[in-house]
Amino acid sequence: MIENIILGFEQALSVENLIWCFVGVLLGTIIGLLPGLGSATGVAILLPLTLAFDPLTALIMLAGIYHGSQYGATITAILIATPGEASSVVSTLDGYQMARKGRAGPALAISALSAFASAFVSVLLLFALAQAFADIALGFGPVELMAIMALGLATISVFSAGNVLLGMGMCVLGVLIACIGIDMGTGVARFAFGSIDLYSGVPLVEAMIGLFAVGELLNQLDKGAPKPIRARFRDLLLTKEDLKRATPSTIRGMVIGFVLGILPGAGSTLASFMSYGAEKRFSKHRKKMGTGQIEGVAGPDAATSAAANGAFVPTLALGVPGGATTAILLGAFLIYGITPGPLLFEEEPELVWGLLVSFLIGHLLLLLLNLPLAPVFAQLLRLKYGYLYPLIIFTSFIGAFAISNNMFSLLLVFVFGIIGYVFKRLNFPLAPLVLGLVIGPLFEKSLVQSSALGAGDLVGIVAASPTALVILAIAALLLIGPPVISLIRGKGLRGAGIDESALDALQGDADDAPDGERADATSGHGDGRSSRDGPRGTREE
Amino acid sequence: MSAETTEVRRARRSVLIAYAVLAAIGAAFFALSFQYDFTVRGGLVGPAFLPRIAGAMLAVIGLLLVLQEVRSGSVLAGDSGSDEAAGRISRRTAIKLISVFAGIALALLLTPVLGLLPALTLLVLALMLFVERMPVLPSILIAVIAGVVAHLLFGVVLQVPLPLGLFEGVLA
Repeated sequence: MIENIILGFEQALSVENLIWCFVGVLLGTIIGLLPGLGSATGVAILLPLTLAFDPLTALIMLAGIYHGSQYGATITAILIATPGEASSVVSTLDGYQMARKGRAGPALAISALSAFASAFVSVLLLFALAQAFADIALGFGPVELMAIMALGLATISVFSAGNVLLGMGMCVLGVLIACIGIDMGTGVARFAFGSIDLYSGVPLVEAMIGLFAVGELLNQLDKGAPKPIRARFRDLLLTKEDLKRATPSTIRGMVIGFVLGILPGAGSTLASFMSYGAEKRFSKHRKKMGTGQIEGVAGPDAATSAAANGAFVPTLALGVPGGATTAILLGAFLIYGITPGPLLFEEEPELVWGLLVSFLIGHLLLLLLNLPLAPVFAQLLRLKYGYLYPLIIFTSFIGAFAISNNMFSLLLVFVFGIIGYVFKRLNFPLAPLVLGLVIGPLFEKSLVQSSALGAGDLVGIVAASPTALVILAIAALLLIGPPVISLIRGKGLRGAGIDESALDALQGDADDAPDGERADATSGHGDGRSSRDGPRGTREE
Repeated sequence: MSAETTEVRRARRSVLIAYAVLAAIGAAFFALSFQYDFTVRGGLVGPAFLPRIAGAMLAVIGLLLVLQEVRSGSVLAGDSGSDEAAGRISRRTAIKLISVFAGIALALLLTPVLGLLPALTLLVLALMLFVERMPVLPSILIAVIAGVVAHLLFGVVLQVPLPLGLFEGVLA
């Protein structure tokens, strides 16, 4: 492993890669700060720009955007109670309360520090575990890989949606969209309706730019520019007491985040929610949680950071993304002609280890950027949305065109933008849809290979592999388990996702809140209406 | 809490329509998959295998979701599990939305004529001036700078063959 890490440092420390890593984390932080733009959107918009780069440089920059946007998103969550990322929702609970009490600086500082500490340890764990996962997966054939793809589809359906059925539906929709185009097994053009443009299928990047960038921007149209709370350089100082209180929370958050990050589909959002739940249970100041306690910022931010790194274990080692952004990154791998999976570690060691080491460098750069410059970044929040979103639409369409130099790409971005907008208005999850789009073709490929291996007897060849059977059984349990438990508990079939319980816990929080604003900042899970008031009410048109 | 729960459990028309559309899409893929072979050459997975099964699954899931929404109201939690459910949009936002959609559509239609960069630059300017009612001078300045930067980045540095429309001959 040591040789691999040295190899990684050799790759990541080249001047070119360092520069693009810096550009990535800087752009990521800015993107995370801007309301409505999360890491998935940022990676999708900027992916076309990286096409001219060497694959490693491109991936380092994209990973920098991914990590940077998590940091940036927390700044908006703390300063204006508007999380730029789903995973930063929890930071609004105590972070925003700290800011309102004049402690925006320590909240921002502890957020950056806990995220960095957690990232540092989790990247070291990533070094150890990614290779181990890949080694285990090396013994896998098409049948086992097919089972893993099915597990990935099942887990994201369950974890991302809060409603298993809807998550499954979105995932299957993604798989069906991915079926459009020439069938890889037989060369037959499917569902193309005579359009030559559709023969090569629905391109991933265009679909993702439409779904995430255009869809999200349109969804944000009714919200004006935010009015942030001021945070100054001198306010960033942390006391010894702050550090003492935040340390155990950071450790708890890191463990929760990394474990959940490894699970395909669980992602950083669930990790941050669960970490907050853990702080409510184990923190010394648990009874005051939600009123501006530093543990409520340190724990979830550590969890988010660790989960973002942990998500690369299944992405790199198994080719199954951990969430929406890693699904887009997986798409980027495929665009650069690289197939993630167990063989990646053998075939492209420079790329894998260079990328993993770049995470360490990226997080260090982020700490250096965020600790002193968070108040400066926060000034970006004063940029009027009326100037911002037309420019992002402009960039999205030009970027989409640049991918395949084709007018059809522009049409696709427009169509997927409308679809994305509708789904966001309805509050449908997009992550399972993207995962279906990404994994669908890989799943079908392993399906075709398995069927060929079994000479047409697909059931027989699956039954002959105990590993595949166990993985498929876990996938089935994940899908069937929550609704059955929900039925047994008499909750009916409303959703039964794990998110629901996490949200119930948070709802309890909001109900206990001493003032209405905190409840408003987090109440999207109830009927969602009140989140348009309260802190969001501070926005101005 | 109970009031909120009651609200969520009421069947929402837009959600019902969306679920029905999902079911219809599944049914369409299922039906259209019969154009292709389910299996080929001695039982190997054929081009219709995945779309037929996935189409049937989506049709069934869509119907179950309709049932879920009608019977108990379904949980809609976005990607985060905590995203806000969209409230009713204001008339002003609706007009904005229609304007943005129409603007993008018009820009795409004008692209073969004007070229990509001029069409999108005009779109940016129109959105800033007429939809967002931002000040004229900064809007013009931002739109022009955006166009120039995009030309330098995509046209000059990345050598992307951006469509030039009517300017094709002139600039060539």
